[in-house]
Amino acid sequence: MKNLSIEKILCNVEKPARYTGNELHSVKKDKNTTDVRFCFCFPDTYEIGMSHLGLRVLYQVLNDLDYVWCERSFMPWVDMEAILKERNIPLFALESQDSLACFDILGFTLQYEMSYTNILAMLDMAKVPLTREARGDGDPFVCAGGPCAVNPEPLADFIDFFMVGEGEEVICEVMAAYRDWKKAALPRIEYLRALTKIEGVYVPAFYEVEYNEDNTIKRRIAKDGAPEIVRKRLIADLDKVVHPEKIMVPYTEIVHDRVALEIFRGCIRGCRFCQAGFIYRPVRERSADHLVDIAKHSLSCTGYDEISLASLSTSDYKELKELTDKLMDYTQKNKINFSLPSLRVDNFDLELAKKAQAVRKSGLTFAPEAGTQRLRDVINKNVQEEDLLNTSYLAFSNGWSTIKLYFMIGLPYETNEDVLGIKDLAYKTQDQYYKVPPEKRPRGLRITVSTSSFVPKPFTPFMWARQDTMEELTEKQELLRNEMRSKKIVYNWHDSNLSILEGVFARGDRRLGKVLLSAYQKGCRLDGWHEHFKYDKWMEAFEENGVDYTFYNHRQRSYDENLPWDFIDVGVTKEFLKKENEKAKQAAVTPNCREKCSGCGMTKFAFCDEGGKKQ
Amino acid sequence: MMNVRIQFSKGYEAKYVSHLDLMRTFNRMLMRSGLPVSYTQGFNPHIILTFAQPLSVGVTSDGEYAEFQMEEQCTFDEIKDKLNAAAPEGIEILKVTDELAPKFKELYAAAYEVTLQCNQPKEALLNVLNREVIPVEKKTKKGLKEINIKPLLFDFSIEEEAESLMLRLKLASGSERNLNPDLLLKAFEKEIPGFRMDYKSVHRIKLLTKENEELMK
Repeated sequence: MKNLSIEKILCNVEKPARYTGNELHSVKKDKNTTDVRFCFCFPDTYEIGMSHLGLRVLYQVLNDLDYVWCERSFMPWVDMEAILKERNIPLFALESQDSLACFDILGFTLQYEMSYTNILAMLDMAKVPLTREARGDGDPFVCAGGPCAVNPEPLADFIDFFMVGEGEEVICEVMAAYRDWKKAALPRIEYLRALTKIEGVYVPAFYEVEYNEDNTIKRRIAKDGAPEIVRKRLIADLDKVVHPEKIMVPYTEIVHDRVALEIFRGCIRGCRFCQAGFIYRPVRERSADHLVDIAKHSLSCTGYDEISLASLSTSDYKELKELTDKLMDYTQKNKINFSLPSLRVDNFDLELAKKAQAVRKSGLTFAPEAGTQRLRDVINKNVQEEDLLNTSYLAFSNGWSTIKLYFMIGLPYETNEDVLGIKDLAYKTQDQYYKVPPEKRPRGLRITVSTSSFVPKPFTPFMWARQDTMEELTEKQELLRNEMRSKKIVYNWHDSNLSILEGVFARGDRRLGKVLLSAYQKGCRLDGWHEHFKYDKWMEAFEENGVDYTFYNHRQRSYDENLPWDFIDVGVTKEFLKKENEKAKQAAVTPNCREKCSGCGMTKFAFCDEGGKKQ
Repeated sequence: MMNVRIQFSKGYEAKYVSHLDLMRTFNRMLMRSGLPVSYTQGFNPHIILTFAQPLSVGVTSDGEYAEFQMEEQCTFDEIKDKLNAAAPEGIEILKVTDELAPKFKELYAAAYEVTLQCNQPKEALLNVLNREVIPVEKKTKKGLKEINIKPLLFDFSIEEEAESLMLRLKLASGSERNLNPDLLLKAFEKEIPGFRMDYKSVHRIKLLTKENEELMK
């Protein structure tokens, strides 16, 4: 497959290997004998998109269907976008080099709010009409899924249908429905109508929204028998769905250039700021034996020399010791690096950390999230200061000299005292190092403190909360900058104006569609890339469309307000979230699901295997 | 222990793979092949693997060479078959030997074929190549620097084909003196007023020693 016009531009762009395809285990099929051509569109660069486990899963699930050919496309870097425009070459899929406009369905994954302009840019580069109303016969259907699809409304103008929840099963049903629709040669709207019958699919064309005078939502009207409530999809038994093994091996380096082993989904912890902790419930684990088989096969057929475990709160995996023992046997024998993500300080396992370090020595990372015990209780991050300090002492006396600490600022019910608590904790961690006798501790102590700015997300107890303004966030960052003077402590903070926009789109509604479109037309794209983020253009776009962004993030919502995502059911009830928010106000903690069931709603929604006693 | 030298091609599918990425690609290919390759000793062991000469991004080649070691003896055919079974598109192992002479460091020249579609006749290009001094601007760490590439141009011929010109070039290659064919094409741009190149494809044929000996027979 060789498209000469593409060939001619590749020597003029940075890192051309991200546009060539042909990677090991990429799939080529005959387009004339497949009924559905699907393009998995990742609205960020190749290096980021190819690292994403969900792409690897769905690529295999779809290509396992003999009547579907799933290809890939990524957001081109700015030099490539410019040259495609200049030469009038449409954005193409990597496998066939065909324009995205030739596809039956384009599927975007929504991992991050700040990638939304890239969706418009990618459609535009392929000359696919941007809004669903402008698309007609012969145009592809544009769909989306992923974590941000739990509040699909800000993209309702552009996306024909959303898949909410886990995609492995629903995407196959969506493919089958397409094949049936195509055979029956029905009008475009009929495919969308058929999709409203599939659980987990949301088709915005069948809904209307009415607003109150104060701009809040009055009501949503479902038309033509479309469901009032869209329930998220859930895989009951992870051992029965595909875990990608023959994963693609890029020619060029990607961000997570290794085998990722997904050990479980869901989380027992219930940290109140964490959307993932609520929307991925209940906890479902893969069996250790199965995982070991997957790991061995993946490593041997890709040739990767590194494997990492992927999950929320990894140390909560029940068979962790068995799994790591077996994996380490294999990885050490085969000179493969084994890396562990997110360790919790309260059940930190030194042996485990040492295992992961056996081949390569790197720093330890902990996420206390908040600086004082009171605020950690508010967010239900059940970590005690003592745990962190004991763990640091243990780490320093066992050869580690660099520790990273992650915190958030701008959390609900936060005071300046809480912010300064971050400094205190960093200094106390530093003291632990000096408590270790000099001959027993490594040299070169470095503590890196990073603060991100909290963004309230749907389906969390803080979804009603007012988000800090840019000024408030900047003040808090400056407070910490001025206070943390130790040469052993490095302080990093995030751009607060990016967090403001994240907050708007995370909890936004349909009326943001026109803002998104104008921002894109003003040149906004790759917003997640610091060097391309144009805050001023975004502010112009809000102003010109008469949309007040503070309505979305700097306003305290009341419990009885109709929220834009109320029609999505992720299993966790609004009542539970309200109760959790009230407990947050009292700094009262909720035990994890294994200790005690707190009645979040999952047992009624589907099932939950966690052993905690029901309330 | 066995020393292995291979000759491989880098085809269209892999031509945009940079040298650094090619090393990564080879490491994974060797891992997949199941061959008993040797690792370095030490805290962070890695496969012992060397390449004769990096190839520029965008260039295809039939004359790429690499060496590695194995813990056990295997036949040349077995090595070739296992590597080819593990190779990604665009990489093909052509020959295998345990003969490590001539050494990679004796490398002196590389033979290229350049297919060029441009708005100039063959004579205009020959006119440039025949000059005593061919100055070009080369990007270095310190900025642009003018160098004379004539001493690095060992041999050349140009043939007219249906829609393009075929340039056969023998250029200096090695760690000390090296001429990238792209730099030569820049000389045309600089020296011929109105020169416009519509398409080019550069292919490396083989690597040679000073005595015109090929790295693998």
